Amino acid sequence: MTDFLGSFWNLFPVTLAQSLLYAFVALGVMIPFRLLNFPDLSCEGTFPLGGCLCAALIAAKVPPPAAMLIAVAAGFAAGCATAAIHLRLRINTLLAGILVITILWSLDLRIMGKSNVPLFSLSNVFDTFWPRFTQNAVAQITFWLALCVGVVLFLHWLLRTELGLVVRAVGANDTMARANGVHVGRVLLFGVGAANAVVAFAGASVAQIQGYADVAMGFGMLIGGLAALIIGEAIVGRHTVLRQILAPFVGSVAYYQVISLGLAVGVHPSDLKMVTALFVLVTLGLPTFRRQAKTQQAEPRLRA
Amino acid sequence: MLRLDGIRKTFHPGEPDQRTALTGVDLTLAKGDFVVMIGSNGAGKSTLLNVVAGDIAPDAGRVFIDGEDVTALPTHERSRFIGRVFQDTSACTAPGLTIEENLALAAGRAKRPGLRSPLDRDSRARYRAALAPLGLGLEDRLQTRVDLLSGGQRQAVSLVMALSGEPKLLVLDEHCAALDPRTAETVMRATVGAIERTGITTLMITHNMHHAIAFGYRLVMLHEGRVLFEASGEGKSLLSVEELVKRFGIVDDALLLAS
Repeated sequence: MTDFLGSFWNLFPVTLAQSLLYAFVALGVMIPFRLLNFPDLSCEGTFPLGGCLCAALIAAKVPPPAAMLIAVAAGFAAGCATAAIHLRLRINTLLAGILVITILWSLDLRIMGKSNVPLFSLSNVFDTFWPRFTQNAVAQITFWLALCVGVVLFLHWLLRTELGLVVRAVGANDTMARANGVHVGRVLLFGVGAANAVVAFAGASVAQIQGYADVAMGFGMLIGGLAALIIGEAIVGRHTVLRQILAPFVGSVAYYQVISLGLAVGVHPSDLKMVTALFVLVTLGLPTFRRQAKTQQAEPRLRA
Repeated sequence: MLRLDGIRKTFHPGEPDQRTALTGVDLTLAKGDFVVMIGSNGAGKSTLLNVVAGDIAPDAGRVFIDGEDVTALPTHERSRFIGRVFQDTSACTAPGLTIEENLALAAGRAKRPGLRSPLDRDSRARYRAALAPLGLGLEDRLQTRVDLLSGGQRQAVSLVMALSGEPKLLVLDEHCAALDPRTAETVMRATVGAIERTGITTLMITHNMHHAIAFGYRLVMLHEGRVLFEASGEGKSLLSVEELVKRFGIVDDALLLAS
């Protein structure tokens, strides 16, 4: 009994640091799904793109900050590609995302020349300003927490400016936005691009912290991000701008602790993705299920 | 002010569901004109308004606003000149945004959005002043989300939004049709009041024959994609509902129900 609690507790700081970093993936899911009403799967491909490109560049002796910047820019471009495919060719957003993910898989292999690139012996962007950052859980928690708070404050300011109002209007009612002079296509292009830039940033950070990039590192990223977002929305709600911005961060912290607890209890790591997917399925399906149950209950009364 | 020149539109040409909506519409609105448009379902009224607003590109014909050919201008660029209210009470506002945020969005539609805060004491005072004449008490609820308002309240907000930024043309697509009769009267009164106060050029579709006769300076009947009949001045004021229905024999259920 105390055994698994002990191992959970020992892992708590590491998990917390990890969850604050993965919160950026949840943020990259929230922006298109909630703010822009543009269901976008691209993060499944832009996460490994960020990681693989950054790792390949560092391995090729590019300075880590520059490598990271290029990786983020590539994520932005890939997000724009998904949006452009949808807007220009009128292909469904989900299919557009899958097309981009598929292209990026081959691209990642091209970039790295093999399926993974180790970085253990190379310097990374974090070690340059905080020695032994990757081995220091407290340093990681401090840094990521500060960054998360900064991003939340920034978004909370941004979304209440004229520009932010335009972005929210596009997500809430694109017909209305168009009738009020908003170039909806441009907002979606930049919005989805920015979301995927954030995801690529997370991918590049993960690659440097775990010490390698792998072409398959993005698998399950979307469902994980979505699960974190849903948990966060259940905890803090989403009916104000601030709550909607907080949701991916709070949700990510909760989600990864739950996962860690599950592992401590003895859930097989290979079952985690299934458990996460089932959680998302149940959460999304529950309202419909409840509605159906209610109408079935009402039926006998109608007949009587 | 607004000139439509030989507007034609056929949907799905060459396909089994081909449908001709407009077969050459010529219509001119002088500055300050208030035109009410009627016609049975499928007469092409909404298609025509969508052509005016830029949502639908005509197959042939040109649209001029103040002498400028705007036929190729996309909706969001045309919105500088045009304020619109649709029949669907949730179409013109952004749910999840407050009344003042919706109004700010409409007020800023002619300029590029920047990183300034769109709301300050001055703008709020302006919004209050614009909402007060509606008599719905909305001026005290600026921070209420529009999706929590009733359909009539939302249409009233939509009307204020459509008129903000002094557009050249107001386009109303049966904006009272989805409201209960009493609310419809309130919103219609507010609409006509605003049109008379601002003198804005207006093109309004209605299914309500009484409204068509009571309001507007000119009446236009659209049938099978073209203008069938026009009345203005004395000719319009002498029309009666029965006469309109009888004289043209163009009756559909909605028209009869509204009468």
